Amino acid sequence: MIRDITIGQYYPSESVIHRLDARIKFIGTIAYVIALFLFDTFWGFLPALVWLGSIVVLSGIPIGFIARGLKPIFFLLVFLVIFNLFLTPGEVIAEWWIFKITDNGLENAGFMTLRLTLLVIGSGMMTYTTTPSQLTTGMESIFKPLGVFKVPVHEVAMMMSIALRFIPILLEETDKIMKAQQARGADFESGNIFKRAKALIPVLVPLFVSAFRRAGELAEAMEARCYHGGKGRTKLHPLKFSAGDYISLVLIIGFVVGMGFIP
Amino acid sequence: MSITFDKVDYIYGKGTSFEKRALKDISFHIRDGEFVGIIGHTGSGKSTLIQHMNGLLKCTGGNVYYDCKDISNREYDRKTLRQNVGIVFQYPEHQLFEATVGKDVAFGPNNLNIPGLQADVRTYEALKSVGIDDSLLDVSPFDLSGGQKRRVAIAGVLAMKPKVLVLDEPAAGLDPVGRRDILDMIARIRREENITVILVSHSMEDVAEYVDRIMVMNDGALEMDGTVSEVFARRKELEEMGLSVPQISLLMGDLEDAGIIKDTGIYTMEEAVRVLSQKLLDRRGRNQ
Repeated sequence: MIRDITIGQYYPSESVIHRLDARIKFIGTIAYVIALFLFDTFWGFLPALVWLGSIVVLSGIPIGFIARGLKPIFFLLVFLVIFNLFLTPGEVIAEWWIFKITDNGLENAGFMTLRLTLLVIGSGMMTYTTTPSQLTTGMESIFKPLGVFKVPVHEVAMMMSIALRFIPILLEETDKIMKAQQARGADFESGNIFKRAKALIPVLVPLFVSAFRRAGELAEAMEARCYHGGKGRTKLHPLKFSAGDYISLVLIIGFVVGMGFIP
Repeated sequence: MSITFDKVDYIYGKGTSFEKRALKDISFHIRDGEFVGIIGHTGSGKSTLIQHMNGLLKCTGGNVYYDCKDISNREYDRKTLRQNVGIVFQYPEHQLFEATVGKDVAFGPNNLNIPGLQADVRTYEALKSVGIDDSLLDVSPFDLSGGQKRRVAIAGVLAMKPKVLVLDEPAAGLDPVGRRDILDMIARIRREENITVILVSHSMEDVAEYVDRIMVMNDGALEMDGTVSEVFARRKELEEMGLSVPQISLLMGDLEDAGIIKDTGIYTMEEAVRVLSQKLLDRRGRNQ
C-alpha cells in the first residue's frame, strides 16, 4: 500500500528537467505555487496548464505515475467539491430536495479543484525529477545566506537527507518486526481502534530501539570518517549553473511576471 | 505434524515494475519429528519459503498444507497455525519490547489467551530450556548481552509450545562458541520436546552436523533435497551455486577423486577419522 503513494518519490530518468540544477527547480516550484494564487479568473489556468504540461512532457514521466500521485488528496478534493457546490450562496441553477447548486458554487468548486490539482502535480514534479540528495544540496545552497543569522543551514540539510535516506530502511524494519510479532500470535487486524493502537506497542518499541541503534552506529561511522560539520566541506558534485539553467530562470521569471498581468 | 508444499510459487509485487518471482514451483514434504536444514545463499528464497509455513505470506500459486489441511483455505484458523508452527526470525533479539524478560516471553502465550498461571509456567519452562536463569526474569531484556537476548527471543517462540520450530539463521552474528551453544541448545530442545525442527542457514558447516536432511535452495528453486551425505556427494554442483561444502567433505572428495578412498558423502570429522585410520590399518596390514 505504501508503495502506491507516488508523491515525493523520485522517478529515475535522463530528461532535460531531471538534469536541471536543483536550485532552479526549487525556485521554479515556489514561483509556480505563487503564480497559481495570482489570478482569480478561469483565464489564468490556461498559461498555468501550458506551463505544467510542457514540464510534464519534457520530463518524460508517464501520466499514470503522476495521476497516482493525486491519490492521497482524492478525498480532500471530493470534500472540497461537495462543500463548495452545495454551500455557496448565489443564483440557484439546479435543485433537488434540500440540495441546491448555485452558479457561484459550481464556479468555486471547479476553481478550487483545478487549483489544488495543479498545485499538487506541480510540487510533485520537483520530487519526481530531483533525487533527495540533490534536493537537500540545492536547499542548503539556497539557504546558505541564513548562516549569517546563525541558522545551522548545513546541519539542517544533513539531517533532512539522513531522514529521507532512512525512510525505506525503517519501512522494511517495520515489516520485519510486524511479522516477528505476528509469528508470536500478535493480531493487528481485528478489534476496535484502541485495541489496534495497543497492538502496535510491540512494533513501535523495537522500531524505536533499532532507530536509535542505527542512529548511534551512523554517528560513529560519520565520526570515523572525520565528519565535523559543514565548515570546509567540499562536494563530490558541486552545483553549477549551466546555460539551460539560466534559460530556465529567465523563463520562470517571464512566467510569473506574465501571470501577474492576467486579470 | 507434517508440512507439505505442492508446486508453490510466490511473486513479490505482482503486477508492478518491482515484480520478482521469489519461489519457483516448490514441492516437498516434511514429516513429523524430522530435523531439516534449508540451505542457500542470500536471496535464494529461504526466508520467503519459511514465511509460507505459518501463513505470513500467501503463495501466489500452488498449495501449502499443514497436517494435510490447506492453509490458504478461508476457514483455516491462522492463529492456531501460528501457534503450531513457531518461526524464529533472523536476529530475533530485535523483536524484544517488554519491560522485563518474563513479560516478553509471556507475550506469545498471552496472545493465545492462555490463563495466567499456565502462561507463567510456560514462560519458566521456555526460559529454562534456553538456559536463562530465573534471576533474570525481572531484568529488562535490553540490559542483557547479545547471546542472552537471542535466547530470550527464542524462548518467546518456544513458550507458544510449537509442534514445528523454524529458525532463520539462529547463529548469525555470534562468535564460534556462541554459535555452537545455540545450535547444541536447539538440538537438545528438539530431543526433549520431540518436535520438528527446520534450521535455515547459508552455512553448510553449521547445519551438516545437526540435521538429518538438507534442502538446497538456489534462485528461488529447490535444487536438492536429501540426506546430508546425498547432498554433500554433489559437492561440485554445490560449489557452482556458490555454497561451500564443509572442509572435511572437500578433503574426502579430493581423496576420492585421487582414488585413495571409495566412500562418498562423509561430512563429519569422526567419520573421516574412522575411514582414514581404517585405510591406514589396511595398508599396514598388507605391507607386513
